[in-house]
Amino acid sequence: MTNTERKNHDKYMLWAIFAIAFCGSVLHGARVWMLCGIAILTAKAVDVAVSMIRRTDFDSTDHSSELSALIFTLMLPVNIPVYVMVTSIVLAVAVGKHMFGGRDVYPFNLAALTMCCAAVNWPDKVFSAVAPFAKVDLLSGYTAQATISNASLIKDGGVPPYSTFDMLVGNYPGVMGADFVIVIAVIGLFMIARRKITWHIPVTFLVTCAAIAYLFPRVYGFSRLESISLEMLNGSVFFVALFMLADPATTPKTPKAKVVFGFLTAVLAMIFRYVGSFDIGTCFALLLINTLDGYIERICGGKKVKIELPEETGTEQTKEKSRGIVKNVKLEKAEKTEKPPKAEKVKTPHDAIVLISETEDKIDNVIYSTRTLSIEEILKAEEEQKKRRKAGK
Amino acid sequence: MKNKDYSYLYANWDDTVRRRKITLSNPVFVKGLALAPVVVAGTTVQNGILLCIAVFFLLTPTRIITSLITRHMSVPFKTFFYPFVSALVFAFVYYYMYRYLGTRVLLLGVYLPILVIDPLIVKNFEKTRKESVLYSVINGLRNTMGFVVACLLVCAVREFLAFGTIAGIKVIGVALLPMAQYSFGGFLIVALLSGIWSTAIRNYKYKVKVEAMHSERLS
Repeated sequence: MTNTERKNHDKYMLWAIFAIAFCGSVLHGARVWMLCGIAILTAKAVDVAVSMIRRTDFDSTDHSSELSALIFTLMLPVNIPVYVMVTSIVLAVAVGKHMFGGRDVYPFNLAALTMCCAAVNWPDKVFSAVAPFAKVDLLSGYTAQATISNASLIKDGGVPPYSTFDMLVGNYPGVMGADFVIVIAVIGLFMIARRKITWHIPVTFLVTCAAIAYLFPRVYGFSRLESISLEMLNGSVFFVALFMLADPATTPKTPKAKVVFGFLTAVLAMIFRYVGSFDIGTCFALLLINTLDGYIERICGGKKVKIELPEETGTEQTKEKSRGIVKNVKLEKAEKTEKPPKAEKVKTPHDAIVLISETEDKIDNVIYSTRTLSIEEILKAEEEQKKRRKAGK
Repeated sequence: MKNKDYSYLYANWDDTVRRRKITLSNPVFVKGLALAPVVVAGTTVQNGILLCIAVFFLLTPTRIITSLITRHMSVPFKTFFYPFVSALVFAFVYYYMYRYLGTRVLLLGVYLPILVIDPLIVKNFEKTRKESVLYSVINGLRNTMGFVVACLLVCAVREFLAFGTIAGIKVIGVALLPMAQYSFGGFLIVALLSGIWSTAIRNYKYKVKVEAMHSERLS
């Protein structure tokens, strides 16, 4: 995926997330917007801080951190304390993204990593649910109408006392944004129709989850079709399928690999939901399958990718990326590269300082020199060098 | 520090690193020794102090005794003697720790006896050259100090993040990162601290290099 495509994808995803956040704010109040704003600011602040620490240019076109932070936020209940959200985002973006190389090369889905981090640290706070239109304190998040989530109820052998229609529209105690199944489905169809995401992973994931729910129902006393509706409409399954599994950085690129990826994630997610300790087995499953991403891509075959080699080598190669087969093909003349522009002459003492410090950095093979030189020192050093050269000649 | 000192440091950098066990060649943060007890058992400052006491009475005596015994032995025999001596010393250490500190010693579980075969204690058997008693004492104490600093730092950070306290004293009322009390959280924190430590060492080395070059240029 090119940078432009990625940017376009992120832009559409952000709009979609804002649409869901709007629905959440209707049911859960203004705190949804406050938490979304804090999530965006935190993710951006971590990106800026890391770029400052690493002394690299800040990439303003990279929205992956904000997107992941928003996805994570909408999977939380509205009464979540701010420090829980901020700490999880900081940890996930700093460790999960930047420690692995940053944009487009991080191996684990950031939103899933953030969610798992929060779930491991504060399970009682993350897995609570708040009734729609409940009074929630804006700053502390305190509410008297918090209860356990539907997924926890099903896990404990219970059945949520809500109609299918209520579960479709998200009108029951739940999280901020991941429960609006109809809205998410419409957004998903729109994104697939506009080719912003492909159908392979979400559809495979949802179909496999439904098939497992049909074949192995875990709620006794209900029909298999009712089992499907209970499993699919709770536990943020649609939300994960659309927003987490569609992250281009952590999913395979070829259609066949995508189908396998979606299938494996669904199987593992359902296993985690059935026998795991946490409600959000999908996020843990996704993290585990992310480790197999490259292997799945390789065994399922990849597209032929042209690799243009420099002129001296005399060959152009097509490489079947997945199987590592390299075929030599006839050479087409490569265009001559333009000569690099000549370096400008040093005019002022300030330029001299910059030039010398850069030269020192190159010689010492470091990014940044810790010592600042005064102009007199530089001039002295230059004069001494000239004298030495003359004496040497 | 004067420029001459920097140039001396730069010229004898390897020796400097070898001597400065607390900072430049810290056994935990730089060499990665004794990670199992620090990561798993070092959840609170109290546990950290217990680990430090055990290492203090275990490391240097083991080193002194083995240096006396294995002076004229080849490496394979030393390999056998080091854990044997450390196990003997540990028996005394454990007895007295249990006597004076009581059941608090049991908090560390298996990670106290595991010190017997930890590379921090027995790594020296690899050395082929003879070791004098004085050298064993000095080097053993340096290693112990390095471990103490690192262990207490990790334990304090973990306790603060996991429980909001340091040495049992309440600092903040919120647990910032409860997973710091688990092993995977411990690994994460040790990794982060090691990264910060290594960066500081790299910056210091660069500063020494630059100052040394500058002093050479001036002279």
